[in-house]
Amino acid sequence: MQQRKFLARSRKALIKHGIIGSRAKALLEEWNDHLESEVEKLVAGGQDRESSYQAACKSLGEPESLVDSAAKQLAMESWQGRNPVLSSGILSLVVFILGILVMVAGGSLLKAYFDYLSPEMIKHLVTLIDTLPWLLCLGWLAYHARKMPLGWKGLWFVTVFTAIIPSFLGFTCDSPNRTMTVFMAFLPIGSISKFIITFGLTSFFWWFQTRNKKLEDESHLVS
Amino acid sequence: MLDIPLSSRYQTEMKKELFIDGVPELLLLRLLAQNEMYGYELVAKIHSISDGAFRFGEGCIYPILHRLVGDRCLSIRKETVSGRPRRYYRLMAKGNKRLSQLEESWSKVSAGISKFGKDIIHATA
Repeated sequence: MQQRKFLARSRKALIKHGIIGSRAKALLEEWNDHLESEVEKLVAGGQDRESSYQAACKSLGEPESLVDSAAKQLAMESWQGRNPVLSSGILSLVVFILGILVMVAGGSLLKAYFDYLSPEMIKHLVTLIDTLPWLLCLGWLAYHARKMPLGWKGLWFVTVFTAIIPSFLGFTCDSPNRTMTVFMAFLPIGSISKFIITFGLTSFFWWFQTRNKKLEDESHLVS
Repeated sequence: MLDIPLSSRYQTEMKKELFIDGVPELLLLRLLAQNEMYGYELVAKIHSISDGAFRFGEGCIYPILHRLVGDRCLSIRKETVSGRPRRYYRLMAKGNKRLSQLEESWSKVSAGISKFGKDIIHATA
C-alpha cells in the first residue's frame, strides 16, 4: 500500500514536470525495483515487511523531491534544458525565419513551373505554401511533445507561438501577372482554424497524459 | 593584478562537469567497468565503497544511467526479477572511452587541488 502510494505520487509528480511516456515508465520501474530491493534487504535483516516498506520509502525521500532532482538532472542533460530561454525563444524565432524562407523557396519553385501547372493546381499549391510556416511550427511543437525538454511550460509556450506567429505570414499569387508575394499581416479567417487546431492538439495531448486513469493505475509496476 | 590569458579565462572544457556533474557518472562508469550491475546495486555500491561519503540521490542516478544508455556508453538488459522488471547495465566501448576521458580530466583536477596543500595555505597566511 505504502509503495503503491509512493509510486502514484511519483507518477503524478513526473507528469507535473512533463516527464511522460517511456522516460517516466523507465524511472518508475527503476524506483520500484529500488524499493523492492531495499525491502528484500531489510526483510532479510529481520525486519517485518510493513515497516520495511516504510523504511524503504523513507530512504528514497519524498516522491516530489525525488522527481524534482530527476527533472533537474534531465533538464541539465539537454542543451535546451540548460538554456530554456534561448532555446524556447530564439529557436522559435529561427523556426519563424525558416517559415519565411520556405515560403520564398516555394514561391520561387511555383514561379519556375508556372507554365506547366493548371490554374486549379496553382490554387492548391498557393494554399499549401501559405500553410507551410504553420506546418513547420507544428513540427517544432511535435518535437517538444516528443522530447518535452522544457516540461509543460515549454510545450504551452511553443503552442502559443505555433497558434499565433505563423498567422502573421501569408503567401499570395497574382496569376495574370505571375507575381508571388510573401507578406506579414494578421488575417483572422485562416488564423482561427490554425489557432483551434493547434490548441486542440496540445489540449488533447495534455489531457491524454494527465487523465486520472493513468495517474492512479500503477498495477503494472507492483509485483 | 593577475595576468590571465583571455583564452584561459573562458575555457569551458573543465567547467561544471568535473566538479559536480561528472562525479556520479565517473563512479557509475568505473563500477560498470568491473561488472554488469543494476540500479539499486550501483547506488548501494557507491554508498558502501565511499563509506557513505557519496550518497547521490536516486533521482539523479537513474536519469544519468538512462542518458548513458541513450549515448550508447552503456547497454541495457531487461530481466524480470520476482515479477518486476529490472534493468542491468553493461559498459560498452564508447563508455570505456568516456570513462578514460573522465578519469583523465579528474586526475588533472585532483592534481591541481593537491597543489593547494597545507604548505601553500600556511605560506600565504
